[in-house]
Amino acid sequence: MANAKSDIKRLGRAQAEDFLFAEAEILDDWRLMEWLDIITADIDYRIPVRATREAPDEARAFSAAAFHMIEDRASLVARMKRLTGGGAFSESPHSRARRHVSNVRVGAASDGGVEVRSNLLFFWSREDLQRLVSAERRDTLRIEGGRVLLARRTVLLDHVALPLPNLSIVL
Amino acid sequence: MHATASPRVDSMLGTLSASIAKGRLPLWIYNDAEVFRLEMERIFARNWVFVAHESEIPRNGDYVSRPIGQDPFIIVRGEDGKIRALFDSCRHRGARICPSDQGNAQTFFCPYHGWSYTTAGALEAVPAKTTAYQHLNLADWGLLQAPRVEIYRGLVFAALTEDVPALTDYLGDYRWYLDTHLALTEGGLEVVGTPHRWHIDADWKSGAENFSGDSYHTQTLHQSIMRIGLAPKAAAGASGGVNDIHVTECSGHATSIRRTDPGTSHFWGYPKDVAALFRQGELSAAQFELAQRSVVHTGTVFPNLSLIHIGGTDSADKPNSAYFSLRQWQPRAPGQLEAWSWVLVPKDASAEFKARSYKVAVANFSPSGNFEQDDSVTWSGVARSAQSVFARNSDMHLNYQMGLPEMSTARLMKDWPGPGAVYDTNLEEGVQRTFFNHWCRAMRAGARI
Repeated sequence: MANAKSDIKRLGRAQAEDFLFAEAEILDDWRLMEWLDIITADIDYRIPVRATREAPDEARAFSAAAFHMIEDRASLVARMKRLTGGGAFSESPHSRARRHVSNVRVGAASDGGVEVRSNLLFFWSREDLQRLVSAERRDTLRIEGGRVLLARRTVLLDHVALPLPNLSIVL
Repeated sequence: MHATASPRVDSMLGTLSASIAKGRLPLWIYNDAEVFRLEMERIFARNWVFVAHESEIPRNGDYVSRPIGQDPFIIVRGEDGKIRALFDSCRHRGARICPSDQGNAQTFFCPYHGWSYTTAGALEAVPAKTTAYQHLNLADWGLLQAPRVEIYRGLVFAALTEDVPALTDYLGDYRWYLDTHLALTEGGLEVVGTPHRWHIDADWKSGAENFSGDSYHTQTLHQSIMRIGLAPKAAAGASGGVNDIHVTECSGHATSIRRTDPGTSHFWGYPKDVAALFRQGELSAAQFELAQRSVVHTGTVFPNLSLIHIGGTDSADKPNSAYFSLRQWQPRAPGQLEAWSWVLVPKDASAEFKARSYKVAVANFSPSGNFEQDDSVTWSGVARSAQSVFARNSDMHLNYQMGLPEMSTARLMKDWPGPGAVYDTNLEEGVQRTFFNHWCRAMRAGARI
């Protein structure tokens, strides 16, 4: 891990973008089991519930206790097995989705990885429904064995009520 | 104030009761503008509607913004500790006075002209009062509020008319079943965090009738859950087990229950340290035995509050846990609902258990729930076909016949110790007919049921 640590400090914006764009392609193309290859064993993935709050509570708009998803690797594996194994009617046929990732900002590095923020505009469509979900993603990318992996993601939604009939996909 | 119905809707309501008795329900009521408008007036404005759990607003001044039907209310605990449902509309010009979903307030302030109200809804101050409003009697211009707010074991309900029975009478015999969830521990239940909210292109009645006890759908629609081991077969597999029962016509409410064998102790799959908190307390021996043998309960309190109490996991590699969720099917428009879901845990349980129970609940019943994801797809199909001209012209009725006398082996249990008309199987649809019977009575009365 000594080498990985020095690699981490050299992760630039272009590398972060390469990772996020490739990840978006994997998810958009419904290669869900492949996505499990680019997340770490100790991944922490969460989408906190947001509420409209007034000052001085605005900073607490994102719940520390309530989540639309609160996942570790095992629960993400279970989700992907369900979605790819047949009989998952929420995604049969699959929804059409496109992840537009932008405003990539590389932040501080630590032993845990490099903090990367990006904006996500997620287009979703099924049957004749069409929806947009907007969010900021706060990720931690970590290099393990020379590969960039997703170690942590918090999705900060720009919605209090999810404008989707379900959240069967990952953002 | 009584909204009139067109001959088309009047005629449907006039024959609906007989039609339900035959297990036939017109499809179009799941997506119809006039039916929806009448539901707002005859059901949501004239019955007790759930608005919050007490634990969401523990301190004086704590509030949450909640709809009753489509009307905006602030559910607030006043300085006197009393919970009120204040109409979120300034008496001066009608502007919104509480733009937040939750918080703590000493006053509610209208940003338009600065009128401000106490947490009890009284008009407290008006800018330039001494020059501009010399004879304004503040006492005449408090916020409107729901005339009735009552609490049953932590569940806060409000009614938009004085003319309703006491909440305990409205819940009636159904309290016998509610208590098996709400009265099991000394400390009661508390809500974890903030409720999930999400938009489903389906009518609010689809959620309400499904959770009344659609035990028949799990083996098909939720088959993927069993395949990957997120729920025990006993909880979500084929219906028709020897210990499965349906409680129908229980003061207008219904519930479906799956149990373990007599003499066993399961408590929905709560771990031992949590089950150790469960005691008979105020429950009868029969209620406590029911809780002990419980695998899963679903149920609906008319009109739109549902519950699920069940065990499961977020990964087959991890142990099962139990979770309890209240959910509400908020009507947004004909064929459009906003689902709300709360996860509740025993207040006295460990922080570790609460976190685990919440995580398992999110993995199964939430917008991302591996279970719940699949429901919305089928319900939106109902709303889609319900607006069909062809279906109306063909007088298309849906089949709600399971469990009718000539249809299945379902039998009323004569020796069941609890209230309601209770069937010895969950292969019957009296639970859903209960919902629609009650819906029909409420819609026909034009007043309370």
